Amino acid sequence: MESGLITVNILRFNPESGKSYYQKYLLPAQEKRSVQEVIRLIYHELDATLAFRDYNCFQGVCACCMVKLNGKAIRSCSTFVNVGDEITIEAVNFGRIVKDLVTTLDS
Amino acid sequence: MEFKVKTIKTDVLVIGSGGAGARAAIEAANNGTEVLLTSKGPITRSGITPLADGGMTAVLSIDDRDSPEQHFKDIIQEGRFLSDWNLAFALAKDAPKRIQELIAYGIKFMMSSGKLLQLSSPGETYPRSIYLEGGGHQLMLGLKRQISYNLNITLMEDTLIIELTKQNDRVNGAAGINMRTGELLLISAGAVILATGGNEQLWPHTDTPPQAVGDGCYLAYQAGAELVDLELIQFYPLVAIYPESVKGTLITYEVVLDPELCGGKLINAHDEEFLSYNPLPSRDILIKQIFSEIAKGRGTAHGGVYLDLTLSDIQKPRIEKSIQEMIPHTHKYLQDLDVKLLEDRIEVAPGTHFTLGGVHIDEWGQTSIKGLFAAGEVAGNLHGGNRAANNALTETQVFGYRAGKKAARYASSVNNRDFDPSILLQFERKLNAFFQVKDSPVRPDKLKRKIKELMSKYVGFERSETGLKRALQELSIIRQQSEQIGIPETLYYNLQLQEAIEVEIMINVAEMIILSALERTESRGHHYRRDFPQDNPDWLVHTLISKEQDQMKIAKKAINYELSI
Repeated sequence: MESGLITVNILRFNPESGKSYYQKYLLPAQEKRSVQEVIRLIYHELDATLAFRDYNCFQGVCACCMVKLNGKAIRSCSTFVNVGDEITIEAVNFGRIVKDLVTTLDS
Repeated sequence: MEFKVKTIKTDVLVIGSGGAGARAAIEAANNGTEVLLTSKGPITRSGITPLADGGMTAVLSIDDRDSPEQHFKDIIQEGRFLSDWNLAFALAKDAPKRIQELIAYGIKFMMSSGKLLQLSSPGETYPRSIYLEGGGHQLMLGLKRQISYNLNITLMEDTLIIELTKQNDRVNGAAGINMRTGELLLISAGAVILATGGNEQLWPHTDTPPQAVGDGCYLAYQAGAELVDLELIQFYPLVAIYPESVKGTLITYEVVLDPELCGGKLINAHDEEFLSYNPLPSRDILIKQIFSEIAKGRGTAHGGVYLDLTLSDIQKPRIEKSIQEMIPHTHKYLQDLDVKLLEDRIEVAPGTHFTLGGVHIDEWGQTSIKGLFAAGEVAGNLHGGNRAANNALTETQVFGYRAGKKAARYASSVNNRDFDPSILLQFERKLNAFFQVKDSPVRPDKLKRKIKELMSKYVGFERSETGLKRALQELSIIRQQSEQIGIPETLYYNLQLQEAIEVEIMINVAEMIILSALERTESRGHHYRRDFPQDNPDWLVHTLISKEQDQMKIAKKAINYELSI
């Protein structure tokens, strides 16, 4: 584990090729971050091809930002990761996967 | 790139699945037409309605002194006399019926001793605010249920509508992208309803989702419709600005600063109070006081003021009860992010909250273009210079219903459902231009930040001719840069493509707003000109933007001060 970094493994899915694979990102961080901030930072600073749902209800009720963190479904807006952590982020089993972390969210 | 194209025929196309779009779709379908309802994201999990606190207004039988006429007068007064009288009266008159329907849909409101809990909010002569249990999110869940029962409605989520199509002088459909299937869409419709919400995301501090950039305004403008009072953007007094994780969270000032509910205080960086709380000021007055405090150099490190509930004169259990009853989700959300509303000082500042101006409509949601309707926040001549609390969700239901009904009738009178494939060539050219620039340093999300900085600097609450002219110059540089945008080549949930399209919308809507703000040489409601600090009776008129010979044209339009409904 490196200090000043959060190591993030994201399960990518490309609907055009049908392929899934894990991609590793090293995100510089000085303080704890919500998982949603981590995903947004990767998109804005490291990889513009990452697909995720960029939405907040600011109340923790909409479930739009849900992902699996280390295998467990969480609300990314209100779950923290610490500097030095290595985490795995995957799409939730909630509807069909459209691309990367985006699912159709059908119940 | 080879594009897959899907053609769809429908009677009524509704763009946007928030409160207004959902209600419009239900009403159009109930009137016997086929409806296609499109949304940039998943219904109940996109748009602005799910974020709303849940306050609504309606004259119900709680206080005998109240009447729809009084509700109407309050809208006019609070709107600083820029509201269209027919629209304001339609809202007041229809609100009770629309609320009764929501109750019949199984949507729950807060109750007190067996009756709807009805309280007074700033700007109401008599108490007429009621409160959805679970806020705007629950409203959307209830409307979604109605939509799922209705076989006349097809819902298409994760869909961007990019152009409206016209035949002669009538809007006859639209073109867009389905981001789930990667298909280009060519839609033929008898009528189109815009229900796309506002453009608060042109500013950096806001309590709205990232997609609220003004799609409907730009679509309407491109189709030749009239837009009014775009300079008027409502700021909400209390939006959290720090810590970063809670940035954008609205904290209901009508609850936390109310001297009977919570008694919270606003404190400047010198630890001083600067407000009088009884009665609670209206939004436009309160934000002026907060901005003025910040402008005098008494703001916090992140440019706001502190909200402090520990200074309240009210006993803590009573405050806890108010918060648990009125804003439980906000409280829990902040708590989950390690921010304690009852104990911590929270940095707050006014953030953009509601787009007052927009597409000009009549009381049935009809725009100035045949076949094109608008409902909800995208419309522009209802609230005037300032919207009183809790009228927005009511607006979604009243005008969603009205536009849905009228659009269904119009669509039934138009038989032609032809496609115009020429729009596709134009559309494919536009997409290919984005895809052809390889490894471009110009990313759309970075340009969005530049637009927000510019709007905050020159077109915030306080404006001046010098600043606004500089804003136009700087915006034209951003416009040039946007021609160099390059993005990954795919139509499947391509956020960069969505943002590239949104940048074009934002640049154009920003220009319309700046031109309108330059035009209105007075201060009124949420538009404050440093060089014209007083209101001026000569300005009891709409600013008007329209497209003439491919140019943005600014003019004035008389306000309808007659009641004819």
